[in-house]
Amino acid sequence: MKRQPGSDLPETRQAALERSVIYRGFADAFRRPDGGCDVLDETLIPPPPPNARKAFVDAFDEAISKSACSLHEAAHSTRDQMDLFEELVRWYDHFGLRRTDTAELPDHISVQLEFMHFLTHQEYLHGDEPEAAETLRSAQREFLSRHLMPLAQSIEEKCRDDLGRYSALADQLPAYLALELERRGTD
Amino acid sequence: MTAALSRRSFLKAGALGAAGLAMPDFVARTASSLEALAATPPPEFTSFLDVYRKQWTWDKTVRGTHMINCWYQAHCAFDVYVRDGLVFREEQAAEYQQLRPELPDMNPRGCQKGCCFSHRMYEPTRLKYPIRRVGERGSGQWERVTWEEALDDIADSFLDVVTEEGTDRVIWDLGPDINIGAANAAQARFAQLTHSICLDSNSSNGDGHRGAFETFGNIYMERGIEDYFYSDVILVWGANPVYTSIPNAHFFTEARYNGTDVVVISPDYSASAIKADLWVPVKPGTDAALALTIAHLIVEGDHVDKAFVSEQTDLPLLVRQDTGAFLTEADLDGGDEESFVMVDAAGGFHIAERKTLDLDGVEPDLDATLDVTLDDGTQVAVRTVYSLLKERLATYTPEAASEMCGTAPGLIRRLADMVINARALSNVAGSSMNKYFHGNLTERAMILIWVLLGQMGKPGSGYSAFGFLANDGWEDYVSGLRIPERMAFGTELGLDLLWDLAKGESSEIFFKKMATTNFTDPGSTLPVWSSSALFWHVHGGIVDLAEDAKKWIPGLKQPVREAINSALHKNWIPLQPAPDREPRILFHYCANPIRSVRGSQKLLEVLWPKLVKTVVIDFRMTTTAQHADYVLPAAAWYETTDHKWVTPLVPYNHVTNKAVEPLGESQNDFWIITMLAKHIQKRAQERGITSIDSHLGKEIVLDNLYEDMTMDGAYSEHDVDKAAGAILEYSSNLSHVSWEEQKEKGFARYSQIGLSPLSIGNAGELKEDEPFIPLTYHTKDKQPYPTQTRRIQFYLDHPVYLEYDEYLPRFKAPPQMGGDYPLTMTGGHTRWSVHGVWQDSRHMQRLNRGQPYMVISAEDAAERGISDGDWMRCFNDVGEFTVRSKVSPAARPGATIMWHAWENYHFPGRKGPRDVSPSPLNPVELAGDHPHLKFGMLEGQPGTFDRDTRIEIERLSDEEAARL
Ligand code: SF4
Repeated sequence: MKRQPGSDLPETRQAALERSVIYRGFADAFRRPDGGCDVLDETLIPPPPPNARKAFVDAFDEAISKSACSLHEAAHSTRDQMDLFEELVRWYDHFGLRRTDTAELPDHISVQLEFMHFLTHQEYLHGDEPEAAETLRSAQREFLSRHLMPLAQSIEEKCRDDLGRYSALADQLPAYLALELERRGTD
Repeated sequence: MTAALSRRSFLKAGALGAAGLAMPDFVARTASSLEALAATPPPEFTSFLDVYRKQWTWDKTVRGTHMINCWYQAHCAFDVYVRDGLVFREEQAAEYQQLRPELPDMNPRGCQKGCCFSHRMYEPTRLKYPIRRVGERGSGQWERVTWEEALDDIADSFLDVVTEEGTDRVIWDLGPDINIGAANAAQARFAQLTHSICLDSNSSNGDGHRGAFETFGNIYMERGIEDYFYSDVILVWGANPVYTSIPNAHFFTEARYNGTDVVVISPDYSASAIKADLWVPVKPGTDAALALTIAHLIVEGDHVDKAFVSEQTDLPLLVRQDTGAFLTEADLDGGDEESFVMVDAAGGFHIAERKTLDLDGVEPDLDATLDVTLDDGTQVAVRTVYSLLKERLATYTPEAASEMCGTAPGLIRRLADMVINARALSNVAGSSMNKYFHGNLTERAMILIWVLLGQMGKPGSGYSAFGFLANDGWEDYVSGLRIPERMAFGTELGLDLLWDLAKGESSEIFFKKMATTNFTDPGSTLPVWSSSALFWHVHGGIVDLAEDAKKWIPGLKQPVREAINSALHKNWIPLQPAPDREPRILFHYCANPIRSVRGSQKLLEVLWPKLVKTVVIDFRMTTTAQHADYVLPAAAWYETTDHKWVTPLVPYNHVTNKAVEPLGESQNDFWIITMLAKHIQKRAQERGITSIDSHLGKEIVLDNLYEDMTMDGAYSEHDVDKAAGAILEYSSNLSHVSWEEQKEKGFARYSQIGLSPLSIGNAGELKEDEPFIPLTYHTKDKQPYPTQTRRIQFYLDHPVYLEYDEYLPRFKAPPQMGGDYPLTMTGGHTRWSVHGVWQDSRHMQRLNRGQPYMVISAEDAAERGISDGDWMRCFNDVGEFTVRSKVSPAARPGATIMWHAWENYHFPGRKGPRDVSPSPLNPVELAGDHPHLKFGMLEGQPGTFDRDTRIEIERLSDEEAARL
């Protein structure tokens, strides 16, 4: 196990901090061809290839590439797109957040990961307050189960496996989320 | 996943160094910052149901519409509901005025496509950032680039091309969705300042209403939709409004409550036919025979409105039997060559006035046949157009026509009776007829019915052709000049225009002539236009597909290629760039030619290799985008502010307001094109390029292009709203309501038809409380028509029309385009999409079969062992494609239907109906050097045709189908 800065924090807060950073890393990595490199471990998520701007399109932009796998939950769900948007906006709104004018759509995996980044960061800040921490954990658990995990699993299933970093991203995110759910189940 | 993985396996060493919040997609709603929000305790949460407890509210609603060419149904105002920078829904804004208590109103307006556009704009097909091709064209290999990279590279190519090869090598391929608003003004201003070429797509869309043009010198004539309530017979002929005019269709059904008979004339038992009082089935492409028979019965039964035709038409004019030309004043006494002659019953000659239709008491002899002595002493036989027409019509008995068009003689008589006895007869216009090779003849024959009966210019009566109503400030914005200044800038043609004014020509004739200067005049201050049909044929190689046209088209006098070359050589038709100047850059704006142009694979084969750059501006990946070098993501219609043209049917300028920011990195068209000018200026300055001469000899200033484009900063790339407002302020027909009010309300009734060449032909007064009736300036006020004879003109004495025996309307059997095959492939606009935009919309796909299909009759299916849903190979001498069958009792045996506008990639092998449609140009439509047969805006150009395409179909075996 690697040593991380901030390890003098209580274990739960330290863990929340690390998880928050990982969510941020994944959010960045799914947002931009070269995102998340400052956070994600290169042995699991290789660095961007020289043709990252092409490979990213091939992997994830279904508007452009026929073989791409969408990063939008609506594309993986039978739910009506606008119903889904509404629920997600409600989630974000409930926790005091509003989408920026230039944001990705609310069902984009980066936005969902960013939301988890926020919830875990909040958990890090409120880790010593049992009620607040429990509220946040329960929200994370439910959000992961209802939205992020099914989306990540579907992406893993549909993403091509010959796209290096981007195939790895698609593989590793559900692996990470599984750890998260496992942990949340025992919290 | 490996068992050994732990959370920390995912973290890079040192990653926690930047452990703060980083959330580009969110802001804090309930705190001053994200950090402050995170620091506050979380809200109560026990389950996801908690997020649903708060009442949903909207941040705002704005008025919007859809800047697409939904044409005869355009447009509809919507309330657009916004929350968190997203459009969640739209709802029809039912605030249109009721013109009169007895008339139905328009509320609520909308179609199912518009009602789900909020959904459509966020579907996975939406483009969000600029992309550049990295593999072969069409290989599907793309990389994401920044706007800076894309625009710099395109600017460099532009500069290379215009400096080395000329400005006419840059082409703007303009599709049907151009809005005559600010977005399109930016494009047109760019083209005007750089003398790049704009393609008029109306010709290649097959929407040119050539027959109306030949007859009226004008295609623009459409009524207010409420006027149908005053009709007692409505002929839906060449249209399918239940599919394509969804917001308007209720007027036809409501008219029936008022006692109106609705008659649908169509090959198939269409959705509109189901709602009609009478369906008249007709073989595809043979409607002229039906129309001429009705005309014959009108004449035979002495139902002709003689006063009307004497005053308004060329029927009383005399035609020389030696040359086939009109008898002119010059023939008689050396007078005016442009003045034509009629004779009264007493044998007195009268010159048909050119400045008015008023006969001033003259009663011409419509049946006159006589000999006249010409100025040089020779004697020639002359006859009236009417007598020639009568003779021609005599052959169209119901029995004879039935052989041609397949309609039972009794039914033809019944239809003729309804038409003849109608108090007020109208038609529902569409553009189907134009898509037949002999559609011009058909339309001329149809018009004959209305004209012979004098059914024009009165409530509920009149022939409708091409609907268009636009502001008239657009040209001022594009040129940066008001009308008098634009005229002063004219060269020879400009002087010609001034001379016309001095001669007292009507404003309609004057402004239409002004529009023709765009095709030829180097001094024009508007963009240089070219016919798209001609462009694709000559530069795109479509003409290659017509090599066998002589086999398909009986009576074709010369190969189509030769006819085109000869017309170009004689300067009958203008083409820019000239045939020997290869295009180098194509900007596809609101256009998708690889999907829409008949025979479009040829373009890829012939034109694409000549191109240095092909750039698509769109919000989705069209078929053409797939073959482009750059695709620039455009804002959707709720993401920009602008306004758009309509038709007199719904004479309200419609506005869309920017409800939300464009998704991702997409930008509105105005921004994109203005920024292109900015990058060209920047790169020109960096490369030391100052100015060049255009192919027409105008100085093109490249190192100041952005300043010129923005009128020295008055309309920068961020000023689409301001530019849209300026256009309306310059308009004589829309400046009566402020831009702010129009934005607020979403629509404003036009105050008049205005002076735009795209509207002026409607020639009638638009009143606040009456449905619009077109052409009353002619029928009531006796203003001349913009034709050779200044009258509604059925006789065309142009040598080509004489050669092809089309000097008067007649029936010609449909050609067998693509070879001698048993089935005709007809088509039409679909109910579930406007062009290709909604074809893969999830909502729309759920309302139909969700994939292309060909409608075939039960009889044709049975004969070939085809069942519903089977995969079929459709083929002819030109090509083939694969599609599923839809076996329908509504289809006519021998005729199939391919609904419009599936993308090529929706078909197996990316080949569709375009690949079996050779669509040769019709030589008569290349006629020129004529007073009114000449190119104008959206009119007077050769059309393209796909409805005469002949095919055979065969069922694919199960093995073949499994391999698709
Ligand atoms: S697409 Fe056209 S007809 Fe349909 S709702 Fe929009 S504006 Fe109206």
